[in-house]
Amino acid sequence: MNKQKKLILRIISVLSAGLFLVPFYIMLINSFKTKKQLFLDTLGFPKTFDFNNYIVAWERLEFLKVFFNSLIITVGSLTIVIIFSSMAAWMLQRTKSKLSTFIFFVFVASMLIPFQAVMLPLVRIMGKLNLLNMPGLIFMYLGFQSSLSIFLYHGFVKGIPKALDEAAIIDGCNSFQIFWYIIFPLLKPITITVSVLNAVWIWNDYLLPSLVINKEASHTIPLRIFFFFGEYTKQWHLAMAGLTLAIIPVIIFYFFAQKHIIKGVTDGSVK
Amino acid sequence: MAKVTLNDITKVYHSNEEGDVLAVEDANVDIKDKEFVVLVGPSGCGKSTTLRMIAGLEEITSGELYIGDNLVNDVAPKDRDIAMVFQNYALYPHMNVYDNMAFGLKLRKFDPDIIDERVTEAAKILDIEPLLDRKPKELSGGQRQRVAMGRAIVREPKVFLMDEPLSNLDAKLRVQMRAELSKLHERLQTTTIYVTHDQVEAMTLADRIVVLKDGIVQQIDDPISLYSEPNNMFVGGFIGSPAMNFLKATIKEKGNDLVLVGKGDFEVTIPDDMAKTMKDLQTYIDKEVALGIRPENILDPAVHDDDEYDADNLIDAQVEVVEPMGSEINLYLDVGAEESIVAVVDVNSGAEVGDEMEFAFDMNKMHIFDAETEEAII
Ligand SMILES: Nc1ncnc2c1ncn2[C@@H]1O[C@H](COP(=O)(O)OP(=O)(O)OP(=O)(O)O)[C@@H](O)[C@H]1O
Ligand SMILES: [Mg+2]
Repeated sequence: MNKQKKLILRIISVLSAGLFLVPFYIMLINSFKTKKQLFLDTLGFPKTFDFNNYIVAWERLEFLKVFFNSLIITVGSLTIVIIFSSMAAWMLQRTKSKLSTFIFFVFVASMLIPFQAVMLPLVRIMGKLNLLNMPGLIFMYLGFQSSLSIFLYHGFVKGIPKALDEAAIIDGCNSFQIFWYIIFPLLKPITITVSVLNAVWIWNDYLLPSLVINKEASHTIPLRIFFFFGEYTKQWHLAMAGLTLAIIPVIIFYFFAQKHIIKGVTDGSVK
Repeated sequence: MAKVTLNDITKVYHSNEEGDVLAVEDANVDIKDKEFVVLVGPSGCGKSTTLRMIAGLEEITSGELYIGDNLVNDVAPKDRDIAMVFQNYALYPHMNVYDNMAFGLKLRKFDPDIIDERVTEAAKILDIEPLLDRKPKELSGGQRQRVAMGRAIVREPKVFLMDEPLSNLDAKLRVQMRAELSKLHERLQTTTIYVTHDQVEAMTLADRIVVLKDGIVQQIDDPISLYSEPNNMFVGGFIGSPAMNFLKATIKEKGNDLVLVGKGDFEVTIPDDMAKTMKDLQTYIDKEVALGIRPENILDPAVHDDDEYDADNLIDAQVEVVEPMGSEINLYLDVGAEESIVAVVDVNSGAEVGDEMEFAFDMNKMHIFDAETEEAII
């Protein structure tokens, strides 16, 4: 019985894993085809493995440049989101007053506002303030991402006994020292969860950068990939190669961080 | 090292849900240099609050707090030169034992050699040298307790503050750590303020005990005086185990003597010298008072020589419950009052459930309290 159950579970996992891999398969095999081949036989294997698409895509995308743009935006936003929301969550959790409850509530409530409802006024205001392109984008991500992050951190901070803060106070810490020496290291599991969630979102985001970035030099990977889809011609074969290129760094990152990510996600769920 | 002085210390919590809570009211305590003082009282009486005000973790609503000769009301905890041991130890989970102990010194920018020296020394005293590389979660409760002590010791503070540091340990370990705490204090001679709700811990550790109830200091005394001369019924009942028995009785004149008459056939004579020296007693004639007698002062004539008890002061009682404790037995006696009273008698007494027996009250060791104010008259 138990063995049978295990077998069934295994089959289901393999099938669903396969299902998730189909788009990757399509992307990968088509990145080696010519445009004509691609349209004639989308699902089949390429006749020859031609890296020409990659070379063209690499050049047209200015891959290194946009890759670093994406990297700077993601890492930059992530860093400040983590710093600000973890500190805010700690303070909001530890301070017992009506004001802190209210502020926390405002943060949580803002999660419910759809992005599309605020995007146009936001871009206009930020434009007037001269806060567009990379710095502006990072600043906006701080705003958009911190509500969920604060919510997650807040729940986790609850599980850290206040006596630790007090022990640190008596040991001689000021507020910043309490946070950086004691609290922040203990937040590691949830920091990983928050990082993964935010990084995936920011790395893949198309809409906000498309509204905010108006300099070609600041383009991110998703923005550039869109170059392959012109008004009259859609260059799928190049797009597929470009997308594959874009995925490689993510896979490498995941490969190295996977132990921490999985641990972070499971630890986070227990607390 | 230093004395600690509390002048009219009051604490009011302003909480959202329950309105204002008066947690400590006009506490006056003078703690001498090198003294081991224990704050004791039932749950919610304000012990932790008092300690936390001394630590600086809670603001003082009114009154003055001195550590040494310095007024410290507005001094930050880190500048008060105190160290605190918390109930659940509050060890930093991500640091090993060494770093837990060294943390306070590192923050204060001590020389690494001195830090190392002090941590090693403290680890030696506390017998935790082999554990220095472990994380707190890899330690047993008793070991964590030692590390928490170590963290306080290395700082070499003027005052140790401890909030129920032993309450998370099992009974046996608690007794052992209690003895070690005593030894430690003997050795370091640091002024110590210790909070517990366990009166046995208080009696065994303290130079002096502060008994608190509902935020008000009831009595401050050394353990023996507290036991033999309680200020009021609360202190009488709180200190000592099993607890002091209280019986309602009326003081009456009988010939030249004063007697206490209670429900049933209960009547005992107040010793002459007591009646004479306590002039106040005269004003209570024909009034109701509370007679307090400790279980160990109720004697079973069967196991005592004739001159050890007063044959005129025998009372009748029926044995309801017998609890053998080893060398002694606890007897629950029905003497006709509302509640049964407890007597601790020698194991040779041979009392059995249902027995009708006579017992003698050791009247020189009894207490009389005002029935209304609950203050001690004798
Ligand atoms: N932060 C707070 N806000 C409001 N009231 C509080 C707060 N802390 C304590 N109190 C109240 O103050 C009173 C004294 O509390 P305290 O913690 O000093 O008691 P305690 O003697 O240490 O009790 P225990 O033995 O249970 O630890 C209690 O009535 C408690 O409810
Ligand atoms: Mg307490």
